[in-house]
Amino acid sequence: MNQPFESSSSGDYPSISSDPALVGIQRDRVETPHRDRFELLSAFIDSELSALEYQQVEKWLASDPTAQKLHHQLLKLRQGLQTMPVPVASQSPEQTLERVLSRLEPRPSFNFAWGTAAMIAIVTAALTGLIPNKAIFEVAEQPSNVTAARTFDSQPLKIALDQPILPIPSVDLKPVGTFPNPSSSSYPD
Amino acid sequence: MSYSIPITWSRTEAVLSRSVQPEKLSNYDLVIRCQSGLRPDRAVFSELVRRFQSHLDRVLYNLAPDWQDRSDLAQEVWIRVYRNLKRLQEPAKFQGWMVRIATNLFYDELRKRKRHKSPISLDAPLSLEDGELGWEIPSDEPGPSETLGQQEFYEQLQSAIAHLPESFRTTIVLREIQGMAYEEIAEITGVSLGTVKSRISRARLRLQQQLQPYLTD
Repeated sequence: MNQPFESSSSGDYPSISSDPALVGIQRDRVETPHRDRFELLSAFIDSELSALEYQQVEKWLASDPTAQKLHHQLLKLRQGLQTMPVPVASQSPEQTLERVLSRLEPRPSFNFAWGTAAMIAIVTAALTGLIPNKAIFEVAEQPSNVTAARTFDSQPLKIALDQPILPIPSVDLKPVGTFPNPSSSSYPD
Repeated sequence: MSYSIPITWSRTEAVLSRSVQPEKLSNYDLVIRCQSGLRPDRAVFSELVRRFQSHLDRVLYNLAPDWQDRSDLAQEVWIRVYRNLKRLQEPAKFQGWMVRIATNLFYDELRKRKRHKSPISLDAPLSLEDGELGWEIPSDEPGPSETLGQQEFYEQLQSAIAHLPESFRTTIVLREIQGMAYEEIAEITGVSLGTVKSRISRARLRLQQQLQPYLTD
């Protein structure tokens, strides 16, 4: 691990990509030490190394031009990845927003709307008397005589205000001071 | 004679914040406004979508460049943001939180699609279980001339990323574009820290090899 970059068996580090003979053929022999060092450098630019590893890579970078070049290329690659434009989305933010909001606040469905309207109509009709309450709630059949009695009972009470309810007996009225004499014979003895 | 009205600063701040139009709020205040009330206010939430949609598109494009239904995924992200925004403890970290939601959704969807994936053709590139990345022989085509601009570099980069094996592409995207730490990536992708480290390194190596003419000054 303390090997400098240029001491690898393949010479210059980036030569893996430029020498087709090394690709695949000498992979087992050459790739592993390269990969270890490359992995260290990769983790170095991500700040994911231990203190010891960090010092090791810093030493390489200070003394190895190939390592410096590779480090520079990786930073450039990172910059490219972070600034790379992406194709314009097929849907604009406004379209996305419209669809999201329609899913978050769904409109009432056709059936639900009709059901609600029907319920409101029934309740309104019941309250305003268009539908007789008895017709809704009465279940058992009523006997005919009860119906008759109810019809009789339901006749209104009529009172003639100019006539007494009961007949009043008539009385002869005499003038005051003309009471009959008690000694007179008008009363039997 | 002057009179002072006792009023707490937070109340004043809240009242002032409510009086400001959503377009004029900072990102931090916008998130705070969305978190007040039972549900985010429609106008405020709309502004949030307008501001962060392009970043979300970018994240989803890099994760799934060949998916035609990325806009459906974006909608699902915003639904989850709307429903869970009150749980976000640090409003300043909204963008990272949203990206995390997007990444988790992407992985859920990826697992579903893998379950229904048809057998790989023998002509397809070999991919081992741990995500082995093969080596490619450099093209015989001539390298870019000095006059090739940044646009061509970006096109080549997009193509190179899109052709990375899926496990390598998502790992390098999570690291380079979403800025996640290795530990977070390991947690999301369900692999060890060592595998994350290795995948990032090998993805970089592949990209560095393919794009070397553009990376050399």
